[in-house]
Amino acid sequence: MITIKHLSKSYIDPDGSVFTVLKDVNCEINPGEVISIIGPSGTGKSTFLRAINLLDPPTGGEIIVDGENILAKGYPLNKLRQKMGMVFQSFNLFEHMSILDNVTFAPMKLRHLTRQQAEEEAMAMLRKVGMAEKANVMPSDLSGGQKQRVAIARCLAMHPEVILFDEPTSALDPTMVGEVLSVLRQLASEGMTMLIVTHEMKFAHDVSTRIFFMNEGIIYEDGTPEQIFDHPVHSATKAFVQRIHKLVFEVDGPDYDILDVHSQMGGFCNKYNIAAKRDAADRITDLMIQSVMSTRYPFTLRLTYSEQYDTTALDFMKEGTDQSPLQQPGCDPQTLDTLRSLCKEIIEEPTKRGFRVKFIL
Amino acid sequence: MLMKRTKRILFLACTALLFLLPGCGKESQQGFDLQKESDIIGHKVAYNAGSVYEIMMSPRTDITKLCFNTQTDCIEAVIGGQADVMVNDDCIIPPDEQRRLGVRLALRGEKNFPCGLVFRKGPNELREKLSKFIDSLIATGEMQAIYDRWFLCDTPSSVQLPDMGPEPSGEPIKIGEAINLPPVAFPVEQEWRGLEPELLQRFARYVGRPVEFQFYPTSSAVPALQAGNIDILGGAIFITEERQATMDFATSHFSAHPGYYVKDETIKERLGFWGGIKQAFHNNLIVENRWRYITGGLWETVKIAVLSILLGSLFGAGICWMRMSRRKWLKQTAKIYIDVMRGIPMLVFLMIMFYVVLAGTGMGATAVAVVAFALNFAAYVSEMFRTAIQSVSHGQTEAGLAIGFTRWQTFRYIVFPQALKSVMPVYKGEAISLVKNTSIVGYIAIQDLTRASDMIRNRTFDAFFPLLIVTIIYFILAWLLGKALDLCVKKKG
Repeated sequence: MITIKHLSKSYIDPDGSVFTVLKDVNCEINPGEVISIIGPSGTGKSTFLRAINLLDPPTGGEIIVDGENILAKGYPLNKLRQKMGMVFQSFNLFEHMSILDNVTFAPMKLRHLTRQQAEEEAMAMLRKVGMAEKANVMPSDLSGGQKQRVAIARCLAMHPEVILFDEPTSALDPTMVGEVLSVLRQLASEGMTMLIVTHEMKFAHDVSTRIFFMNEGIIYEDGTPEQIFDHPVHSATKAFVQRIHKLVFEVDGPDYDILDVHSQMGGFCNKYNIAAKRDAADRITDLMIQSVMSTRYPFTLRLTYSEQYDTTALDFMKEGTDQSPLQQPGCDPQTLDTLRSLCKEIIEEPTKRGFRVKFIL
Repeated sequence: MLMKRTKRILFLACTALLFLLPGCGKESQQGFDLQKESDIIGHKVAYNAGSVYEIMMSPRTDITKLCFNTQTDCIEAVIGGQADVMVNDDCIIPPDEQRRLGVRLALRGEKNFPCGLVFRKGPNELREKLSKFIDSLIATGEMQAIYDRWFLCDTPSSVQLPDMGPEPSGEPIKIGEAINLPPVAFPVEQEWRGLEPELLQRFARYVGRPVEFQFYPTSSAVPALQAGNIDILGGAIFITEERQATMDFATSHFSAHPGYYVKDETIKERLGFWGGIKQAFHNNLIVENRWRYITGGLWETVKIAVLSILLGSLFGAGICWMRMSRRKWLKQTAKIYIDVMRGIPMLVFLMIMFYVVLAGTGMGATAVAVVAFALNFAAYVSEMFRTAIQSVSHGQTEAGLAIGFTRWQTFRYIVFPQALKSVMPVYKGEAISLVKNTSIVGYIAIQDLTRASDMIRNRTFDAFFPLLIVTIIYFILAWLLGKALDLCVKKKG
C-alpha cells in the first residue's frame, strides 16, 4: 500500500549548519495494519508521519503509494490527502464552524455530497465517536478529548484508506486520554489502517499489529508488540520500552568520593519512588567497596531502575577479567551471606569486556 | 441600556449648545462710530489671512490685530463682539446681506485696488484678446454699465445675466473662480452670475468659444492654473507686483476699495431663537435651491468613499499577498510601498497625484481622488489583512491541507473567514476614517460635502448652520457604513 525507501529530511539552520532529523527510513505499510511509532523525543517520529502526507516534505528518498511515487513533480497531492487522513496533537478543528459543519464541510466540497447526504453521514460518524449530541456546538465549547473525537470523525467522513495520528493524546489531560484511546481501539478493531505516533506504551502494546521503534532518525527496530516490548533486540529499544533509568559512577580508586555516591543514589531513589531500596543499595555499596572491590580499582558502579517491570538493580562491573570477584579468595563466606541477605538475587555473569555482579534489590 | 440613554442625552445637549452658541456674544446695540480711517486706532481689527489687508494691517502697532482664515470668520468675530471692525473689500457684503447679519459698511477707504483676470506666465494670445476686449468695453462705457448693474444694487444675488444671445460652441475656455461672492462671481444652480461671469460671457461671444466655470478654492487655484487645469483664473484678484512676477494679468476690469464693516444691531431684523433657526434653514438650504450643493456634495463624497474602499481593499489584498510572499523582491517592494504611503500626508499626496503625477492623463478630479484614496487605503489595510491572516493559527492551514483541500481552497474556506472576523473591527474604523478624510478633496476642486458647506457659508456668511448640517450627514454616513460592513460579515459568516 505504502512503501517508503531511504526517506530523509534535514533542515538548514539560519547559521548554515545542517540539522538532520530523518536519516534513512525504510518500511512497508500494508492494508489493515495498526502501526504504533514509538521512541524517545526528538528522534523524528512526528516528522516521519508528517513527511508521509508531505505536510513536511522530505528532502530525499521515495514514498510509493499504490505504485506511484508521490514525491514526483505534479503528483496530485490534494487527491492523495483525501485518501490519507490525519489527526493532529492540537486537534485543529475549524474554529469558525460548528461541530456538524466541521464534519460535513470537506465531504460537501471535495466528495461533492449534498448537504443532506453529508449531514446523515456526519451524524453517523459523530455517533460513532460519541459526539452526536454536540453537533450544533462550536469547537471552543468542547473539552480537549471531545475536540479530538470530533477531529477523528471529521477525518473518517472523508472515507480515508489510512489515517495518520500525530500524538493524538499528548495535548490532553490524563482524564481525557481514555476516551480518545477507546475510539482508536474501536477503529483498529474495525480494520482501519493506522499509523500512530504515541507515548502511550500500554495502548501501543495492546492495540498495534506492529511497532516501529524510532531512534536517531531511523526505524531502529520493527516488529510485533511482543518482539519489541518483551524481547527487544537492541539495548536502546530495551532501555526505552522498559523505561530504564540509570545512575553510573566510574570508581577509579580508594579516594573516590563515596559520600557523593550515597547522596546521588538517595536522590535517584526518591525521584523514581523507590526509597525503600535505598538502604539496601547503600549497605551493599559500602560492603562491596570495603571488601571484595577494594583491590579491584577501577570499576564501574551502576544503579538501574526499570519503570516497566518495577525492578531495581545494582551492578559492579570490572573490565578485563572473566572471573567473578565473589568467587575469588578474599571474599569470605560471612560477607557473602550478608550480601545475599540484603538483596533478592545475585547474578554473576561475564560480559563482552569483563565481568559483572548484579544485585537485584 | 443606561449607557445608551446617557449617550443620547449627551448628544442632544451638545447639539443644543451648538445652536445656542452664536447667540451668546455680548450684545451692544450699535457698533462704534467710524468717521475716518484713522478712527480704527486702538481698536480690534479683523482681516483675512493672505489678503492685501493682511499686508496693510500686519505692520501696524496702533491697533489690535485679529487675523482669520476666511471672511466668514471675520464677520462672525464682528457679530460676536470679538472684533470692533472688519476690513475687507467694499463689495464683499452686499447691502441685503448686511441687514440680515447686522453688519454695516461704515466707511470706504481711500486706497484703490485694481483687479484683473489671471493667466499663466508667458505670451498668450487669449490674454491679449481679453485685454483688447476690456479696453474696448471701457472706451465705450459698457464696462461701467456692467459694474453698475452688479455693484450698485441692493441685492446683487437676485440680479440676472442680461440676454447676450446664444453661446458659441467649440472648445470651451476653462475659467476658475477663486471666490463665490456676489456681486463679483457666484453660481446660482448651474449658472455663474456676477460681474466677472458677465464679462467673460461677453468675451466668449467676442472670440467665438464657450466658457466653462468651476469653483477653485484660493489654495489650489494657482496650482490648477499652472498645471493647465484652467485657462483663466478670476475672483477679484488684485494686481500686485509680487503676483505679476509669477503670473500675467489681463487689463484690470474693475477696482476694489477697502471697506470697514462694523456691527450694527439697529439694521438687523429681530427674529428670536426659533425665528433665527428658521431663517438660517431658509437662507442656507432653500434660497437658490442651496440644498442642491448638499445633495451634490453628498453624492460626490459617497462616490469617492465607496469606490476608494472597494478599490483600496482589492489593491490592499494584493499588497498583502506581496508582503507575505516568500519572494524577497516582492516582499521588499510591498514593504517600501507601505512605508512610503504611510509617511505621506494624505492631502499632500492627493495634490501631488492631481497636479503632478496624473496631471497629463486627462483623468477627472473624482477619478484622481478615488485612485489616491485607494492607494492610501491599500497601504493601511494590507497590514491589517496580514496581521489578521497571521493571527489564524498555522494548525488551521495544516488541517485544511491534510484533509485534501488545495492551498487556495484552504485559504478561501478556512483561513479567510477566520481572518475576516478578526480584521473587521479595525477595518471598519479605517473605512470610516476614509469617509471623513475625503473632506480634503475640495483642494482639487471637487465639490464634496465639505466644499458644499463652504460654498453655502461663503454666500450666507453663516459660520455655523451649514457646518452642523454636514457634520450630521458625515455622522450618519459613517454610521451607515459601519452597519453595512457588519451586515456583510454576518452574511459571510
